[in-house]
Amino acid sequence: MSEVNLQSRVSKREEIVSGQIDDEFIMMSIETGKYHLLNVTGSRIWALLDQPRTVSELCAALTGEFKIAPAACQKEVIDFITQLAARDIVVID
Amino acid sequence: MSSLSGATYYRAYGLTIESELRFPELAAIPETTPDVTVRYGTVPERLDKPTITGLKFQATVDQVLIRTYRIAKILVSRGETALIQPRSGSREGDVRSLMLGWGLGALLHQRNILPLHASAISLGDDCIAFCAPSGTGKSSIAQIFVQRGYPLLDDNVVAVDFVDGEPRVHPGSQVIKLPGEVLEKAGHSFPPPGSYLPALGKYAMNARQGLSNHSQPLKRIYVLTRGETKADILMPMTGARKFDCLMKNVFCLRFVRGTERLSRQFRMVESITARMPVMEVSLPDWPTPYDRAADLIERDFSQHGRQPENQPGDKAFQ
Repeated sequence: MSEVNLQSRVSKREEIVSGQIDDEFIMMSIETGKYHLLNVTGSRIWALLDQPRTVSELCAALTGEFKIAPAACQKEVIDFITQLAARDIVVID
Repeated sequence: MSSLSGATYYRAYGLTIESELRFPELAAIPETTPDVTVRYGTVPERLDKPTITGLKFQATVDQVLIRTYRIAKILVSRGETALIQPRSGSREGDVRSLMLGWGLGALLHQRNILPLHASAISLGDDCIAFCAPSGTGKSSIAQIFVQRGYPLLDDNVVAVDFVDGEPRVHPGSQVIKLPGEVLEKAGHSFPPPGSYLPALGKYAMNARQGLSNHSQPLKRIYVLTRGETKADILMPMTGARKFDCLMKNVFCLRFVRGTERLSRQFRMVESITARMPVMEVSLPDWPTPYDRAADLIERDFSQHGRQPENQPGDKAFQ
């Protein structure tokens, strides 16, 4: 897997379903049956990925919504997307 | 009308079943147009291009092939037919148990009905369900409720169907399967020897209920867990833990992994968690206080003003 950077374009894998249970967000792989819990920021990133976006575009949206410095946001988003890619939840172009 | 000679007809799990195999556990009805046909026949050893393969099964989106070494092979197709080939020397009771277990699980998934590994009890116009892994005491608690006058909807597979978005449970089998020591402790007289199920090590007790054939709205789910304290605990589950507990109690979920049906089951569980409380009932390891667990649950749902339909202890079992 190539390293995730600001120019990486991220899209959801089609076989992932997600939903909200009380205040928590769950995503599940239809292929494996495994499911994962998202926190508030993660669930917002997931919602933004309803259409493919670059990491840079995700960061621009998040810094506008959350009180977070751009550099810190970039690091968190890259870490998060890297984890999702490692679990075959997203596709990186 | 019948395509099977000597077939018997049953109404259970929201389905009309035409069957060559006798199911004394289910409510028999006059001959009618079936939703599902169960018959004996030759079952293949494998499926062509299975989506998923397990130790004792193979599955595609429309077929599940169940293969046990000593009981039977069963092929369930499109939610409409179940073809059974018993193994040489197998007991009919074990073949029935396999069909009303894994076979039924496959059938319900193929018909987009959510099968929960649970017991369900009727409370007037509504019902509740208890989920728990095998051996946790689900059936033992269910038999206490039956003795207290609450009709049983099922003690193993609770069929949850969504009607206008509302989850409803269809009556299923009226048999509770209990180990001998539980029967003895509860003061039951033992059923005839033919009721013993060697594959499960349990006795099949027919819970005579007089229950209607209509489905009932599911209002509350209780999840039984083994606690590490000696206190009895009943508390609401929330969020991911609630979802996780219910998904783990979806019966035969492995049959639909890798298919679009798993997505539907996810949505049904999501809908259930959004619509009703899921309560954790934590039982100490030993001694297992089934009566106290039943008291906890009964107090919790009695706040909704529900009363038992039958008189407690009134020949609840036959």
